[in-house]
Amino acid sequence: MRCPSLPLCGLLWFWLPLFDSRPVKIDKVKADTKNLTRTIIARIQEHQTHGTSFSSMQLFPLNLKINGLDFIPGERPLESLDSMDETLQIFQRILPSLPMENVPVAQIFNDIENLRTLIQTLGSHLGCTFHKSSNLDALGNLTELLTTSPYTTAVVALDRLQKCLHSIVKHLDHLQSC
Amino acid sequence: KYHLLLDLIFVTHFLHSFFVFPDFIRMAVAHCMVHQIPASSFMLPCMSPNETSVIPLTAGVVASGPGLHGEHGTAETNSLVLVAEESFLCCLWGETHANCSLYTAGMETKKFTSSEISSLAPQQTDLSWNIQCWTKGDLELFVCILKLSNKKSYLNGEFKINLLYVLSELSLEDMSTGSLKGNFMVTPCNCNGSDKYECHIPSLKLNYTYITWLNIINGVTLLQSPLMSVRPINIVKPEPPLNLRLEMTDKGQLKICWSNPVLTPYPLQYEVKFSGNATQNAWQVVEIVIETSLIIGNMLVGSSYLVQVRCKSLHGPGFWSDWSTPYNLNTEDVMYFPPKILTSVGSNVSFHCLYNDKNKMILSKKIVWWLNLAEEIPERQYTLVNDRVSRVTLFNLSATKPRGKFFYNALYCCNQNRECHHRYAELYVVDVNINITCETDGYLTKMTCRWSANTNTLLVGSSLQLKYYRNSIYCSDFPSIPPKSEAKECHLQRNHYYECTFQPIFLLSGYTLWIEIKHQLGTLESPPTCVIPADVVKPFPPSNVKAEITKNVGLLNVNWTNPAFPNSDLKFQIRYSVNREEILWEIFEVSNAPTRSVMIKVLDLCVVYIVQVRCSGLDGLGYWSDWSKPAYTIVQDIQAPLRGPEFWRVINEDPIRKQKNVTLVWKPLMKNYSLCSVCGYIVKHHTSENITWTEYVTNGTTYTYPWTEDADTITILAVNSVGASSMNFNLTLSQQMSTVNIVQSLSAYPVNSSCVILTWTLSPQMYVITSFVIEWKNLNEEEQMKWIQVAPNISKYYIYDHFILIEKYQFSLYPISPEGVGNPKTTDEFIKDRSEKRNDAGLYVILPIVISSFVLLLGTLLISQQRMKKLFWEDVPNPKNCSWAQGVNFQKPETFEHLFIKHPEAISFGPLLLEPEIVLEDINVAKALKSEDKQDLLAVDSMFTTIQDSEHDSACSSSHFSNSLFESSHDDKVSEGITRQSNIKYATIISNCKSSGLYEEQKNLSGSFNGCFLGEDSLVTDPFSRSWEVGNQAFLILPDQHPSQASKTISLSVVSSEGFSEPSDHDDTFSDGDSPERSLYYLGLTSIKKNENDIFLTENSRVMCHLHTNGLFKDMGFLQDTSSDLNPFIKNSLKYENSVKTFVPYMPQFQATTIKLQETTETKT
Repeated sequence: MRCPSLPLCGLLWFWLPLFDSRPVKIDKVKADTKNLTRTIIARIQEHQTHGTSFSSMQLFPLNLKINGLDFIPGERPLESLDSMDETLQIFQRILPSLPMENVPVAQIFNDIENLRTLIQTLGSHLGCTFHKSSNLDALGNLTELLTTSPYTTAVVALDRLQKCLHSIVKHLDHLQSC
Repeated sequence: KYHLLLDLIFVTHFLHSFFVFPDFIRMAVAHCMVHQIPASSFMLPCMSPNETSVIPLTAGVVASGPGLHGEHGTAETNSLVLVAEESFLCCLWGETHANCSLYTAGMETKKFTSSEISSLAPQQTDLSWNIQCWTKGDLELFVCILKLSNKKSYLNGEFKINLLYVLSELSLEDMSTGSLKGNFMVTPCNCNGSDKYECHIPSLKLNYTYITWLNIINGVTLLQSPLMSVRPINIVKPEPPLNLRLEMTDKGQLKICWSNPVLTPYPLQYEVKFSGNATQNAWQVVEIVIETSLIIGNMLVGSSYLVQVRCKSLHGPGFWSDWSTPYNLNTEDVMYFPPKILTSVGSNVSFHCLYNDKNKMILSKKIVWWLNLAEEIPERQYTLVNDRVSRVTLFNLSATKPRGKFFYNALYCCNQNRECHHRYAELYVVDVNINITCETDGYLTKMTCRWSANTNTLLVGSSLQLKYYRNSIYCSDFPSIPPKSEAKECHLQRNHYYECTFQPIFLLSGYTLWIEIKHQLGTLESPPTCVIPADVVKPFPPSNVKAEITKNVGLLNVNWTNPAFPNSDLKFQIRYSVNREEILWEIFEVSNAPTRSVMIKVLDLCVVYIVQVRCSGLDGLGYWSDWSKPAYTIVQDIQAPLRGPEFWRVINEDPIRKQKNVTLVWKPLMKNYSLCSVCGYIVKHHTSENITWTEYVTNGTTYTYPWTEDADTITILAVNSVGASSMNFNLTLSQQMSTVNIVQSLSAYPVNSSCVILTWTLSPQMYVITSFVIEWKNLNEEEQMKWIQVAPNISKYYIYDHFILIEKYQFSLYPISPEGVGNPKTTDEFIKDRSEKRNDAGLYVILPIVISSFVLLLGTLLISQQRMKKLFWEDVPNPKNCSWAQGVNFQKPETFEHLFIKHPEAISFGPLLLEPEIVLEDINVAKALKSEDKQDLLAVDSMFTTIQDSEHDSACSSSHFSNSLFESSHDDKVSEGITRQSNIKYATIISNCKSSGLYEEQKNLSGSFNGCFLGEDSLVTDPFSRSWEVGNQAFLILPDQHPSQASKTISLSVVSSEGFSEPSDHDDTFSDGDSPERSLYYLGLTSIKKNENDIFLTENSRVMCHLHTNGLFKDMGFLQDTSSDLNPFIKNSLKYENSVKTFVPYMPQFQATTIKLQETTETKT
């Protein structure tokens, strides 16, 4: 006997995958986002404090300004989820090229990947839209910079990433809108 | 010189086929032609020079062109090739025109004008090669086979053939002839048989274009083929399909299935061939299908058909593969679909069965399924798919237990008549529940997953692999195996665990993990589990753990540094123990998130503690870290000592100086009081004159000073680095007080060599005792005096020391009051009595027990004796207990009547006999009676009941009568309206044997008489005693007068038990069995008439009593006219008699009386 309510069944089956994933509690997402951000900061700091003086990146002096690395974000505070996602995306591009052996770059890369997903989840909960990073094209001279002044690039990139992450933690405390 | 004209004709099989399949021919026009090698065989004809004249060639040479051009779809297909010495000509040879181009040695092209030609007959050629080229199924080898089809006589026998080729990435259009120059590779063709040559091009690149031609050298003559081009992908000849098998659809239709060859560069089409078994070409059905199966229905099953399949490219050119190995449709009588199943625990599987028993298909409804030849599968699990196909479904399968070498369950499809074929289906059920546990390291960069596979439950030949899929974030509620997955390499560790490592990790991604178990029968997957690395973190233990006991407060303070990761909140466990050999950990848990230190209350402050800390995520997820490195506390003074030491004085008199020296001795302060050390003691004096001074003692625990003051109060303070003790003991030494006797007595009792009990009593006194001091010392040895301070409210103290009990000890008890130390009581001997007394005390307990046990034993013996008596001896009532016998002098009765007339004195002995009594009778029936007899017996019984009731005769007070068949009924009957004392009367009725022999009767009697027997104490001792032993009572014997009835012996006991029992008051009288006064006789009542066997004899009386009966009681006459003086019982009994018969009453009486009775009876009869 054929099921007369087959179309209905099919419709239900069609919708089922949408409910398959666990209803994510936004508080948990927020807490995880904060924890993960702190973990990345700790990874960077761990390296800065525990590494030997030569092999590790020293803490970047606050009063020093480096020119020519404007394409690396982090000098301005991040104020929206979209900008966070965009900034992190840029760092994901930069990180794999950084000449650092003692920093778990691959791990930080994965962490940023997770962090972006969390931010996007938060954003989708708040009804935000995310844009593709526009600054990605400006990374053209990264290769050149890395050949001429790899140390500067690495130190500045890590420092600015750290600043961005601090900014994200700060923003998450008062997250109300996109 | 020969000018050989080589005609190259591309044909498939015949010339006409070119027109039919124009696609197969690809031609290059423009400057030169390159011939495409077709996916079929073709001819290469060669002509002799004189025959070339048929083609009028014009030497119109054109300029060299830039490249090779292939052209497709031209209808003109034949070509002639003229090979010159230094160059060769390639021509497009059609039916009407031949366009030829000439290549110079430098690959320059010259063009010949075309001219009309007539069709070339095959017979015109001198030499013709049949060529077939293809790519092998392994896609690595290009093979060309050249076969000589005809040969002219002038050609020598042997050929040397080379295949020349150029590999080009470019397409044919982009190639130039110049690029070919000098780039040719040469591969020789091997002679395979007399006229067959095989050429190979190895290491093929399937999608490249190969430009080839052949150089054929026959002696000195060179024959060259025109240029040929081929892409190996276009001429692939695949391997034949594999693994032909029969399967069944859900609808029960059979289908033949096969597998693709291993290497298939493109989709395939298949051709299926059925043929008769005996003759291959007998009957063929060919079907072309695209799928790898073909439904054949059930009609062909059981037939003798063979099935073969071959394949070729679905789209584009290519060769058909060879036919596969044939599959016989008639190999099995019973076919299972599938024949083997590999599945996991808990799953459901179905098997189909087609049963062909001796060429006769068994209907599906007659098929039953058996498992392991042991268990019939219930019918509800069957499904009739169609008439011939039965399906069985097995639910919720449990793992297959290996039986020897068999790792499967055997499933049998049987006939309803319990006939099974030997073939079976195999069911392999594997437990795939493999637990995967993961752990993220303290750096949060690495996740290690472990799993173990029980190799015993896995099938031999299985391979396991960890597969995983990563969600971008978190896990789904119900992890499932997604279509896309990755494999992870795992390594077997020594602990038989497989270990795989993920690094770097996505901390918050959900990793869905499962184990894939691959076996040749199939692939199984373990239930997937989803792990988020952040949830399985095992953090690093806290570092820099420090522990100390805080000063003044006295708490164990532990602090530590948290690990760098994770950044989420942590909870901590602190375990601590006194640092000794046997460490007993105590655990303290803190979950305050920001905590990095904790204070723990500990009991013992003056010991070294060992402390360790570990941490875990506050949310309870993840693991506890390892314990940190141990930290140890340092013992130091925490507080001033809690109190001063206990001390005592020893007074020594110096007779020379005439002064008393007081030596103060104290015990070192224990750590629990000193907290934690003592660096010295302060001895403080306070005299009665209120003068105070102190002495500081750093070394030792004694202090001596001369006693000058009458009353001196001494206090000793303990001092450590923190301060001096605040609570201290005082001792006042007073001359006046030392004479006061407070202790009245003192005794010492040795318990054993390590304990002595000291007890004392105090005299009533006015002083307040603050404590006692006990001194003791061994008088025989020069041993130091020992002392102990005890509480004031006790009067007994256990001294634990090493005592030698044979030695002499002195014990002194000093009462101490605020006024001073009183006069001591001293004892120097142990009191030994105490232990004896203690033994006596034991005796006092044991003795009553022994006595009571003895009494109990006696009681038991008495009771058992009674029991034994009753078991072996029937209870015979003492006649003196009988009411009617009360007060009667049996020794000297005055008259017979006196015996039976109630004595007035008897009233005083007990219940009045005349008063209403509960009377119980007993009737014994020795043999089972016939129903008609019962009536008689009842009649008899009731008669006697009435007699005895009316007579108010005494009854046996003893209740030990055997219960008869009618006992209860009689009880009921008799007890009506009777409320007072209960006496029991009884009658014993014995059925008479037919033989009625004396011996047998006696036996019957002995068997049935359970009433008031005298037993072995019977006075009867003569040779007839046997009869009397059993018959010491009155018998009413009723020989059966009716022939139809069984003769009966009815014994009527008219002697009440009471009458036979002895009054307890007269036990002495009856204790001697030989006493003549005790001569007591029973009178037998028996039938006098004719039956000698029914005689009962009393021994001493030598009276023979006969009882004549006429069968029925109603006919019995009995002493009708006996004087009224006679026993009323007899009188009353006679009321029932109509006809007088001889009836001898039986009474206990004296010898003389018996004779009298006999005389009386005789006179009456």
